Amino acid sequence: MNLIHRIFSGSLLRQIIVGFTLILMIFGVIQVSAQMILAVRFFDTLAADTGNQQSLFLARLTSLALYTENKSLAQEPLEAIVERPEILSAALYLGDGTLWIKQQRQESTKNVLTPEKAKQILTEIASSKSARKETGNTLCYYAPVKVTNFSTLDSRTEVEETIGLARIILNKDYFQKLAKQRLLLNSVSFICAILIALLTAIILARYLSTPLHKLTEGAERIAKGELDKPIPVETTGELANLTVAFNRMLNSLKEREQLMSELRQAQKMEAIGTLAGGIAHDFNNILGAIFGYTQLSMLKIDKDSEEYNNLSQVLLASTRAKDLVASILTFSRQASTEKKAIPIASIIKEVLKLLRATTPAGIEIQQQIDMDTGNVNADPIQIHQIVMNLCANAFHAMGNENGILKITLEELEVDSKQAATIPELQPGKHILFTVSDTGHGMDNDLMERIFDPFYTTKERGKGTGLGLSVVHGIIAESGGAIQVESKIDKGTTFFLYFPVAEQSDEEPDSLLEAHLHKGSGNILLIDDEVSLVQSGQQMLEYMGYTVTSMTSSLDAYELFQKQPEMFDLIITDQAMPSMQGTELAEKIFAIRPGIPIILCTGYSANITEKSIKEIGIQQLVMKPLSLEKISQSLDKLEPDGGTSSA
Amino acid sequence: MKYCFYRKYILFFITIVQLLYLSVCGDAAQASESLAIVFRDDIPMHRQLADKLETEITKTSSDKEIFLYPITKNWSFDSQTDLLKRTPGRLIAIGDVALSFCLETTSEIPGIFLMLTSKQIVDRAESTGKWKGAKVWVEPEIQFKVIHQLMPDIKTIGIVLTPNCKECNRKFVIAAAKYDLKLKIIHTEERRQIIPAIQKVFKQSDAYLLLPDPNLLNNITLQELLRLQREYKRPLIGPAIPFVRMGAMLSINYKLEKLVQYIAKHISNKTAPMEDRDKLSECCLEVSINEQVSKQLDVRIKTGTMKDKVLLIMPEVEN
Repeated sequence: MNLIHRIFSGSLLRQIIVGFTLILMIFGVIQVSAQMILAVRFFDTLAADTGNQQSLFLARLTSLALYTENKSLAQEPLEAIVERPEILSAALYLGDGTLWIKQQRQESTKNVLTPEKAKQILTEIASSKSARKETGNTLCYYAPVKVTNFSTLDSRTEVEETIGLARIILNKDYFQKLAKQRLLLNSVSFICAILIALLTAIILARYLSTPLHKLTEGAERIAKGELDKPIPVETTGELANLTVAFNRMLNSLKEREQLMSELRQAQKMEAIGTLAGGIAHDFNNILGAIFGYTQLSMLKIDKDSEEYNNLSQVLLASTRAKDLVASILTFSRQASTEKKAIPIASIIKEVLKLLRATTPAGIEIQQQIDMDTGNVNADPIQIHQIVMNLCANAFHAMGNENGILKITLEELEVDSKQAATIPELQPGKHILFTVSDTGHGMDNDLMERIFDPFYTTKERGKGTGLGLSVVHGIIAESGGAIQVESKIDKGTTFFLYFPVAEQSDEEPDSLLEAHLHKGSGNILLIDDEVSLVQSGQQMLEYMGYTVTSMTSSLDAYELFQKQPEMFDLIITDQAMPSMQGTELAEKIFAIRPGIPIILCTGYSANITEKSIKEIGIQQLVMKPLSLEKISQSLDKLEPDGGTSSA
Repeated sequence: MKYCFYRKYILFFITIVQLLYLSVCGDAAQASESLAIVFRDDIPMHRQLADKLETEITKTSSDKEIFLYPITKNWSFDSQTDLLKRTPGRLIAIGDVALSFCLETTSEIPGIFLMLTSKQIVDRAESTGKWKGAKVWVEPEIQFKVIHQLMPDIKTIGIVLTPNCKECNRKFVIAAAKYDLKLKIIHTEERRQIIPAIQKVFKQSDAYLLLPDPNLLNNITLQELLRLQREYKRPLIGPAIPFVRMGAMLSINYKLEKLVQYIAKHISNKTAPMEDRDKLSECCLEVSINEQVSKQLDVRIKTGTMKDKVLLIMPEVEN
């Protein structure tokens, strides 16, 4: 068993060759043995048949010669018979046993029957057609030479009369030689067949093992983490199916690896976003103090004075800082998403402002923004994302070279004919937003894949591959459509169609100095930042309100518990230690339902207009708080909100 | 006187009646004569012939007692004794062996032989004066007559004689002369001389007459004769129908069935005696012609008055 195991162990190629060789050897031994036996039998039979036939033939041919005792008649048949290579001699004996005529080869030894022997043989074969006698290396065959005497009246009554004896001597060596030749021929043929079969086995085994080797190599590559090289399918049938399945597995692994990479990137982005959100919160608080105190200071000095001008610059810088924080929050996707009819033109303008700071030096931004365009039903943050993503892609497409980024916004009427040319586009009023660059452009294959999630042409780690898919999703969600045109080395243009929405009631924040709200009443102001509480208290008091400021939400709650009817309005920060703004609001509503509460927040992924309305909070105000923003918020409060407006 | 007249008259009548009775009794004695048919039991044709003879004789002479007596080639003394015990009044011997048996058994009983091939046996039987019969082959004179009638173009007939028929020469020449035919005859003494003699005779004759001589009737001579017939386009006249079937152009022979009937009538004394050759030939002669061979040889045959005796046969075809 060990020996068999050792023989058959090893590679598939070896197993096939060894198995095949063993089968061939066994078959060969059987074949050669059978051939030997059959060859000997065959040539024995052949010799017997030849001897019988030739002796009978000689007897028939020479019957006339013997009947007439004319040797010349017998000569020719005898010579013809002896010409055969297997026949050594041929002879005719008379009925009395005497040799009448003989023909033999030169190499044949003299072998003549005595008359007595010939007569004895004649007696023996009288009843049979021929007889065989074997002596040494020769085979002797005898046949009687007969005359058939007819009855006069009945031809069927025949009486045979033996008038002589025909004798043929065959060369036994001749048939043995033939047998050996045949055996040799068979052996050579068989060896050739074995060689061909072995060669076929080797080719077949190679044919089978080569793809297996390639599969093994492929598996080893995967183990090393090389997922980029699929295994070439060079065969057909099961092995090809196996290779295809292996490649599918390879692709799955590759996709999984990519997904893992994207997940890591997304997690990284989330972490960055969280970090950015935290920084933005703190930064908003700082900005809030700057805003508050600057504006309060500006209210107390002469507008024509140099100090007022200086403070105006501080305020302007703070406003830009506030916008920058807002953009960071949007970019880090920490801003809340709330779809509503928004003036897209102003939002795009704002984003472009932000983009200017990061635009590569060689790129010129050309914009044709029609500010009279209508609103679109979208979240401002999403519009931010769209503009940012498209412009970032355009910058990437143009690289370090000089280029032009052209941004247009216009309102148009899409007819049904035009709608039919662009998928998902419906007839009607639309706002067309186009972003075109003069970058390297895209081929058709690339264009087909640009909206696929996680598909990116950027280097690993530099792009998420989500940008355009997010853009596509936002457009689709807004009921619009997107179209791309691109030419290699000419550039790419994105056409974004937004259905026109109803006019928004909200007005955008403005840095312009507005008419400040004036009112009266008791306001409870809560923020954990002392500077913000102080600046806020001053701003509210400037507007005519009596302000109770608290830096702890717990203390504020205790105070409200004791004197719930003391306050007309509560302005609270959201992010506070111990108790957050929304929690505090809920507890206050539990004590005194309906009291107006304004929630201030620097950022929050969970706080939306909708969620605060569900709690009962009347307004959400984004930090940093400026005088105008507080004024506008107070203006918006419902008349029965508890505070009185001037 | 009147009594005497009647007495004489009655005596005459009685005498007539006695004579009539005696004649009737004599016929009856003759009718009760037994007849033995001796034949070789191992030869089917002989047995068939014996059966036919028995049937025909029974038809024509119902008063004769007939019994079949089969023998073998090596008959024994007991067979002879047995035959004699049966005291046959007449014998019919079929074939050479049967006639030899009869002649060895008794020379007193008369008999008829038929289907004889051995001239010696025939001569021996005829020399007793008690045996008559029909040989297998037709007498040469009749043969020459028929040849002359059928093929008048034939002027020379070749014949090879062996020691079996040393004295035939003169008889053949006389018979042939009657029909203005010449014979080319070669005598042979040994077997080795036969084929060369046949070749020589064939070459010098218009036709070859193969005699029913056992020395000539074998496959080798027949093959050579048929070869010569084809080579020289000269008819080979065989001794019997089987040779015509094997390729000889024609044979002149007795028709056995007719011969049997003739013998039956002869036994019942209703026909001419056996030695009347004209009546025998008129009754039983048959000329068999191999039509295919005659066409191949392009031999013109005038059947004429012998039309009713000509039998056209085809050669034997082996299955």
